[in-house]
This record gives sequence, C-alpha cells and structure tokens, in this order.
Amino acid sequence: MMVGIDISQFDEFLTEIIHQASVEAQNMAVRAMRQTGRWEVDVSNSQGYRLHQTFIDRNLFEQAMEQHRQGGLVVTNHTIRASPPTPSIDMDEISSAAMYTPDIVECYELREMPHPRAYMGGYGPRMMQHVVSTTEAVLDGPPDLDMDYFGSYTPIKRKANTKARELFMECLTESELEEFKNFSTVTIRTKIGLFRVEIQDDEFGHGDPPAYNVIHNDNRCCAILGSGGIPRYDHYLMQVLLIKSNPSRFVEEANARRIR
Amino acid sequence: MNTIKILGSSGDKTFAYNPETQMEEATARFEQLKNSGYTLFGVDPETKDTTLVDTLFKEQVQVVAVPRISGG
Repeated sequence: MMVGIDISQFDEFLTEIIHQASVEAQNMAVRAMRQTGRWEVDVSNSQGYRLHQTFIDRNLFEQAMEQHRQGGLVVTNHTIRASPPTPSIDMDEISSAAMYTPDIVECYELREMPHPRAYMGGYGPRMMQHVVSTTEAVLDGPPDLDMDYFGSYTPIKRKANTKARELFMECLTESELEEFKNFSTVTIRTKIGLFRVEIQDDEFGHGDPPAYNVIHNDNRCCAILGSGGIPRYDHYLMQVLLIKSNPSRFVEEANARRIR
Repeated sequence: MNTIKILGSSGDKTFAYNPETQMEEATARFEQLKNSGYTLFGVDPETKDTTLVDTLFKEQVQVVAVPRISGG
C-alpha cells in the first residue's frame, strides 16, 4: 500500500520527524526494515527526484499527515511517499547510489551490517562514512560534489562544520560570543582559575581535532572527543561546556604540556 | 519543545520532544546515550548556564550530548 501526499515545504514539525526518524533508523539498523509497524519513507521534489529516504514510525507519519490535513503543514511541491518496509535490501545498490547520486540517501547503522567491500583497500569504509553523512547533507539541499585529495567530499564536511559552528555559538554568552568573534578565543573564569580556549577554523573541513588549544595555569592542554571525523567545532563546544560545568574534570581528562 | 542535541560526524542531530507527553521516550533516549558513553550537558538557552546532567528532567530545555571524551 502506498500513500502519496503533496506538501509545499518542510515545516518545523515535519523536519523534526525526519530528524527523529534518521536517528532511529540509524540505531535500528537494517533489521528495522523487516519490523512491522515501521514504514519506509521517500521525500521527493516536484520533479519526482528523491531527496530523502528514511524509516519512520507509522504513528508519527500518520500524525504528520493529520496535521497536514488540518492545514498545520504549510505548503508545496514536495511529495512524501510511504510504504511498508521492503523485505530485502541490496547494499551494492545503496552504496553506488550514494557515491554517484548523493541526493539519494539511505540511513543505516552500517557498523551492524558492513558492506562486503568495507574492508578492501581502505576504499569501503570511506564509502560507508559517506552513506551516513549524506543523510544530513540532504536536509540542507543537495551537496555540490567536490572531491579533495583524499577522495572525501569536503562540501559535506564543511556543512557539518558550519552546523557545528552555529551550535557552538549558540552555547556562548554574549560576552563570550563577542570575544570569539573579535579574538577567536573564549575565556572562562572558574573556581580553579582562568581557561582560554583558542579557536582555529577548520577551513578545509578535514576534521582534524584541535591540539593543545586550551591555556590554563601556564599550561597548554587539550581534551578532545574520542570518535573520529567529528567537526572541529564540536571539540571546541565540548571543551567550553566541560570547563564551564566541571573544570576539574576537564583538567583530569586533558593532556597538558608546559608552555616554554 | 525540549531538545537533545547529539553531536556526531555530520553535525548535530536534534531529538525534539514534548516534556509533557514524550518524557518517557526522551528519558529512554537520554539513558541510551549515557550508556553509550556520551557526556550530557544541560545548557540554559537564556543564560547559557551549563551543568553536567545525570538525569533528565522536564526543566532541561536543551541538552547537548557529546561523544566519549579523551585527552588530546
């Protein structure tokens, strides 16, 4: 059974649902496809070009449609099409679709079901990473492809970094924001002394974590996020939040070296 | 709507919930993140006051979840 419906643009409510569905879909893995009560959802533009595909709880979807019927959802020329989950999945098709047509998106927990080529010559894992990251890129519109030297799609990382930067700025007070804009530093006064976080833009979006960018008691120190491929501003955000909430823990976590 | 912003490789993902009706779902998500090694911070959207959060309460309008922390 297919349900087709036209809406003119994603309003906040629908976007939230798509976000939630993405998170859920990642966690549920491919097994979720076979689970009853979950629907596969395609979002296409007016030309029938698929912008987003994900899995969504049937109740959530019906709630959204009800809101749409009551005039709660504004708009348009996008189409949302939902159908019960398909019984099988062709991982080959997904990865090649994600490589060559980044607008076609699948959101899976790939660690639970790695692609057969995932561990060949370092090529596969990059592809898997791309499949996951495209999901977010599509929410902001189709990314323009531009490979860097390492074969990764820098515009996507750049978008992630821009998004992370926005959240970072959202969590600063007015005076901190002012300091950040003027001096690219954030100074935080705590019970155990002053911390100065130096911010350097990740201009090329390579996602390298910062190194020794926090100054405290004449030491340069640094704590970073353990996972790889995280936008640099997420590291800065974590540093600022941890220093503000529990500076002693930051010092415990951080490796430090004396400034000479 | 309250939110949990989860940091990840493609920027943050937002889990939005109504504290009056979806608290159970939000708490389950919160616990799941905590058990996966995430550190959770409550950030006041007005004052930007930040606290480490161990339990999710309705009053926490915005929570930021960061993956495991290590020495740099």
